[in-house]
Amino acid sequence: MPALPAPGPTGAAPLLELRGVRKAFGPVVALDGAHFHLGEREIHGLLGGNGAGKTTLMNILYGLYRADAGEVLLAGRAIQIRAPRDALRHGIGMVHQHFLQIESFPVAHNVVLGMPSRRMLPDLAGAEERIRALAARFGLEADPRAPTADLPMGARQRVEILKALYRDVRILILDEPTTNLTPQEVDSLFASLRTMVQDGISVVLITHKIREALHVCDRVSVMRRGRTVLTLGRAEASEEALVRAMVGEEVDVRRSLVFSSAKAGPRPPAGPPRLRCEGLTVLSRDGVALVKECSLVAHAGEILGIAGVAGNGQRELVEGLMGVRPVARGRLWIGDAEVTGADTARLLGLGVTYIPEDRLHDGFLPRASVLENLVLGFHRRPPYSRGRWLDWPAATDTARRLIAEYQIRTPGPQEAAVNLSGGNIQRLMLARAFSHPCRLLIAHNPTRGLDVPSTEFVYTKLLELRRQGVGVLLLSEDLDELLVLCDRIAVLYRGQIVGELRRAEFDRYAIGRLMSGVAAAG
Amino acid sequence: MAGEVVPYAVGVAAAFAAVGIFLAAMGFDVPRAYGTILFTSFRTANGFVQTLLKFVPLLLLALAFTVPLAAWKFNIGGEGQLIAGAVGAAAAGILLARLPAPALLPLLLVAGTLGGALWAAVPAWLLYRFGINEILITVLMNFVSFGVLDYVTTEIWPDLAAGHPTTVPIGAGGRLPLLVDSPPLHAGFILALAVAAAVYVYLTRSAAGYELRATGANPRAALLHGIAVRRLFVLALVLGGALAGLAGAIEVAGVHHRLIEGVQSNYLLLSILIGLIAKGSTLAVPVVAFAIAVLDVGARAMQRTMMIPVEVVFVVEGLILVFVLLADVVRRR
Repeated sequence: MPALPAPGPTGAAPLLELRGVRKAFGPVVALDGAHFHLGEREIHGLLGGNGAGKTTLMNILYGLYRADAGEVLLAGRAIQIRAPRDALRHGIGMVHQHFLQIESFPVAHNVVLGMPSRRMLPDLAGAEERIRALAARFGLEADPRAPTADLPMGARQRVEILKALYRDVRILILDEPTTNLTPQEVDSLFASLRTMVQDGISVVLITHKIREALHVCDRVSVMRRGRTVLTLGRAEASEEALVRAMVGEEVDVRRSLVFSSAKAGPRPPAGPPRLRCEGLTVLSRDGVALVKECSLVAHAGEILGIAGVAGNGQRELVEGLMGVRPVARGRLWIGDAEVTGADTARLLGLGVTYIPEDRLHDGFLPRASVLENLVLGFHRRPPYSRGRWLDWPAATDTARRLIAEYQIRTPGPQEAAVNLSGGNIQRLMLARAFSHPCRLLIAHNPTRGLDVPSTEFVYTKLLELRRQGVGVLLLSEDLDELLVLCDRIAVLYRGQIVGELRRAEFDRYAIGRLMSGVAAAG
Repeated sequence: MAGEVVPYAVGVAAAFAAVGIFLAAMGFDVPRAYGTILFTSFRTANGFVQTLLKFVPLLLLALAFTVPLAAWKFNIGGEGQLIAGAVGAAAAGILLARLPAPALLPLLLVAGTLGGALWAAVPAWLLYRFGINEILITVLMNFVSFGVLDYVTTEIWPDLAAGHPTTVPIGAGGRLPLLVDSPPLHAGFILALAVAAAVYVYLTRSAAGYELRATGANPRAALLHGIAVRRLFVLALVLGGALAGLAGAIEVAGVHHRLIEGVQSNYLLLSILIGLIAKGSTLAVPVVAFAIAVLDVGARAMQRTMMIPVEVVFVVEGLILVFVLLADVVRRR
């Protein structure tokens, strides 16, 4: 459906316009027919699933990528943006999902870093004064003298926003800013955005969460497969219209889990413990406890969620459980077998399946074939092998079946895996994880980077495994995901389990308080 | 397949053409020089046997480089491991000289293989225990091996009648049987081919070989999927050392029948070149090793008959590698 240039809340001509943007990376067309209008003093949501092209479009506006075709108009005049420097000169700033900060610097140094200065030494006292003023004006609490490394994720994001405001931007682009925030921090961020708009700044909010877009935005544009498919004002926008625009016909919206609300029917009681750890402690090389005295039980037929802001020990906890990292103290059982100190191979042999967080780095063999990738981790088990020797003909048959079943687009099992597209690599990893019977599944951010249909598939699969009596440990930074899927949620804060809630007790803000370490539940 | 071979053939031709321009400018007869380089191996029986005798250690040493390379570990210590293998073989051959062939020959080959494996076990252990870079230690172990070789040939079992640091001969039972009597071609040729076939099967069909390659492709992914990565690095390096040690044993049992200083020749550099041109492929290694053996034998003949320095061939070989790598880059575009 063609997007009509809807008037901004002020009714004036758009402040910024992107027209007919096209961008291809090699054979992959990331954007084709993307356009975008930003009005004066508005918060404009840019909504879409992973791979829809939202971030690519904004990276073009910020000068990180060069568009193959299309134009950028600022207040009606065409402008050329070749680098972020040009964007900043035109008053356009962007806050990325991954912050570019020097950890050993205090906040003020990070804010002024890269600013042109006529003097030999930058005026740091003046800068600190200005940062304090900006922080007070927009409600972005930050101490300019605090060492950056000590700040939690929410504070580091405020620093990044202050960096843009310090450069007097009139247009601020935020890429998925709520990913690492607690619900409380999200509320406070949105309040700051409102203040900015009142101050004359326009905000672009990139998000994949419909509720967020509806909550804070004046207008919402939806992108799908590199195209802008819809722009709606807040008054006309309904959750249903946005969902439809986001997924097209690919997902049955009414039965979708991704878009469902957290409330679900009663769940059958769980079975015997499948994973049990007591007092698990994982130390860093310097002897600092990254995971402290963690005790958890995941039962058969249950999804146990681990909530927490990224970097609170999730990775260390999983790697400790999986025998990848040495465990300093504590005991671990899989079913009835004690596996304290066992290596990863033993755990896999006991029927544990592990979906690592960063699937490209932690699960993918680029210099191998599709077949060899599918075999990884199962290469000493039937049907792929008979002990010491691999059974390639049998493995090839299985691989063909998986390629068809999981719709991996590839010429065949022997194809070099490097030639797969990002989405197909993800499907290959899912095929590997879900195609073998298991007793315990440990999944770390299993839907990160997945498009909507694939996310839907993972949710369906996790619930299916749960029904079959598999124990599932799900670590996720997406609180909505946990609320939809889990039977219980434990919250990890600075390496400690600070609280655990049953499904009946689930409350976004209660979990948020635990995530920020405010209250330790009894 | 053809699509892969053509760019490489072009690369090889380009290397020869580039060097030919310089040779012509220096006033040499280029067609005759290249004729000598390429056809010496095939004109006479002697030339062909010479080529096969070069081929055997080159093949085994190239595998000693490519097997650890599959796990993305760089074994630059092939010559030290070859020397350790030759010392082990010579020690067995001299100390047990009276044993009959059915006992002595296998013992000698096993001693050589173990010698090479032990020599590689040092960098492997240092890598496993302390994470010390294997490239550094394998290279340094080469220098240690030169000292050992010198000591063994001049102090322990020196042959005082020889004009060159050399040990006394090994027992007659330790000699590899001859496939052809004149010119003499020893059975190590068959042994080397059989070992190459075994290495191929091991790497492609066995679970351990798969783990080795998976580790090479992405060590972190391998670790997270139950592969004991650090133990595999040890296995890869020790296997490589064993292959190089076997090459040393074959040189002693088949060619020299004693330990001589210089047994390692220039095989290390050539074998790394072979491994790189073959891009680690076990199937391509024998083919490339044979081609390099042909060039090496031809180059020496060219030096004798035309006074063109043998180093010209090193330049050609180096350029072949450069052009083969370039062909990859071009194909990817």
